[in-house]
Amino acid sequence: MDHQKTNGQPVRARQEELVVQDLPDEVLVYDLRNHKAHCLNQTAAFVWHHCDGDRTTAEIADLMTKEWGKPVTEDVVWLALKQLSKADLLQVRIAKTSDGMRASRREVIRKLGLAAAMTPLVVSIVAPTALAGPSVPPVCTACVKKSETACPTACAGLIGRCYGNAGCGAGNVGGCTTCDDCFALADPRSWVIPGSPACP
Amino acid sequence: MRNSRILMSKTPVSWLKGDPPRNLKTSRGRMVAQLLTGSWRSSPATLSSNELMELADLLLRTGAGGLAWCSVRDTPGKQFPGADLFQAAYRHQSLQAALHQRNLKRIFPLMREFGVEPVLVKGFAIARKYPESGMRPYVDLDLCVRPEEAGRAREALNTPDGRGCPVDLHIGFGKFYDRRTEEMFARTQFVKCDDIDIRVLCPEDDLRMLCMHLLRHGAASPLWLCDLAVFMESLPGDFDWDRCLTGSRREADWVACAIGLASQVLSVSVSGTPVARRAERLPTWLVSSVLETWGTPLESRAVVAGFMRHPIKKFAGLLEELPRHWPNPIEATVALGCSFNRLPRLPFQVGHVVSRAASILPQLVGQRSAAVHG
Repeated sequence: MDHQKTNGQPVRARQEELVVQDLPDEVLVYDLRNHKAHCLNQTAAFVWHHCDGDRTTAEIADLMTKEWGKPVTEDVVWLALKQLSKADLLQVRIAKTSDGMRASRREVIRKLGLAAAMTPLVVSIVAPTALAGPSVPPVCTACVKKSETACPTACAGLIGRCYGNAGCGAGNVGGCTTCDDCFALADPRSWVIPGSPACP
Repeated sequence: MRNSRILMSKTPVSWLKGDPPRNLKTSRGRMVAQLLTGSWRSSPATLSSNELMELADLLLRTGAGGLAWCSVRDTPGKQFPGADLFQAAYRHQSLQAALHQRNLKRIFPLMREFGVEPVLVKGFAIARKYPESGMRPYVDLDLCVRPEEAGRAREALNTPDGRGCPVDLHIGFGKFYDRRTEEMFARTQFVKCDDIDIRVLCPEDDLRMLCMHLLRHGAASPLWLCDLAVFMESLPGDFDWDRCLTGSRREADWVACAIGLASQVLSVSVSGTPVARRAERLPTWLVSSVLETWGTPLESRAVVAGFMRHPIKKFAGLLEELPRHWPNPIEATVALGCSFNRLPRLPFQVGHVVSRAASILPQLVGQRSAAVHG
């Protein structure tokens, strides 16, 4: 990944190999390259949607001011860019030495007196299971069938269970194992990540 | 009736497992039902934080976390410590929906390139009836094809594009409890997934399949009854009940009973339908079985044959595993092809276990002799 020092110059949002789901209050993004999922609040989503490679940070801040009817400074846009860059949702990752990249969320809230809901926030989405441990990519939440010929790379290191291939959860036939190991077994199997029946 | 209550009050499983008391399970199951009733219509839940905490694990493990979030998100209940897990489930499922539809839009044109016209069952076919995509989990794409198209369908799935889609390929509808393959194919319909036409079952066959699937699996997941409830609330005006209730009288009665469960457990209105009368008169054990099952943490079942190959070495594991295979009364009744009447269910449950054991034994004997001679 290239790093670029923008210093207020326009940046472009990444569009390729992403699955985007717009919800009323937030935007969910699934990255098909690394199988990571992110949740963008309205402010982060606004900045992301307006990173078209033409608009500067100052212009995006102006747009936000008009949209919300409240003054928004460039610091807010920078904070969003910092998080979007970290989540790999920009065409080019912004160098940490760029202007504005050092500001933290807490500092911006304190400096601008913004409500927490208005400050940009990009968070990773994890599978809703206390036992899953690592972030489980949605591709793994489905049964991975032996007909697939290989387990998705994203699932390889995750611990799950082998099942009879007559449908997901149709009969646990092995203890905790990785997807790769399950695929290595000779007979037809499905592999399910921890979540439905979590491994102890 | 008195006898049936006595027989069902303490099954052998409860003795073996030292389970929580049955009334505790039933009361938890009732709370699950209360929380999920109308959750797809944003009916706010009225449960306390403590009750929600108690249910969180049960709901998340059965895929009902997204619906639970919809039920609590506009109430003070969203502040309870486990609500963020419900929200995570909702977000996760919303993304799954987007991925699922992306795969659908790839696999249908691909199949058609190979001269195959698949029918989508479950997944998007049901989830599209919910108001929000994050309410229901999505698993793989269940595609049914005609037997003569199976070879070409497998070829399509072996292409690089096909391999990228998690497809569960079914030949005909046998897996979904219906053998009338050609008849069902003839009645399928198109629905739009953006600009792609997706072939799905007609509403009558779809409802029948949902009912049969629910009962065959002992109504173990609250989500399946929610599917049925959502479906009932979105029935088209020209829904043909005769077509839905076709076949043997027993199967038609099963369908009516499944709809009756949606009515009694999730308060779905069935008035004015041909099943309304039956829905009001379900045997008492039917609703209590559902509530008890919903109030019991879902546990995965290992294949018993695996333990039986080394019965001495794996005796402790076998003892721990066996109770998980005790069928609930609904599962046992349907597996034996019997009626939902007022008779006690214990004999059906025992009969089901015996029939399953009888089907495993020849396999074990075969494996044993192969091991000896091999």
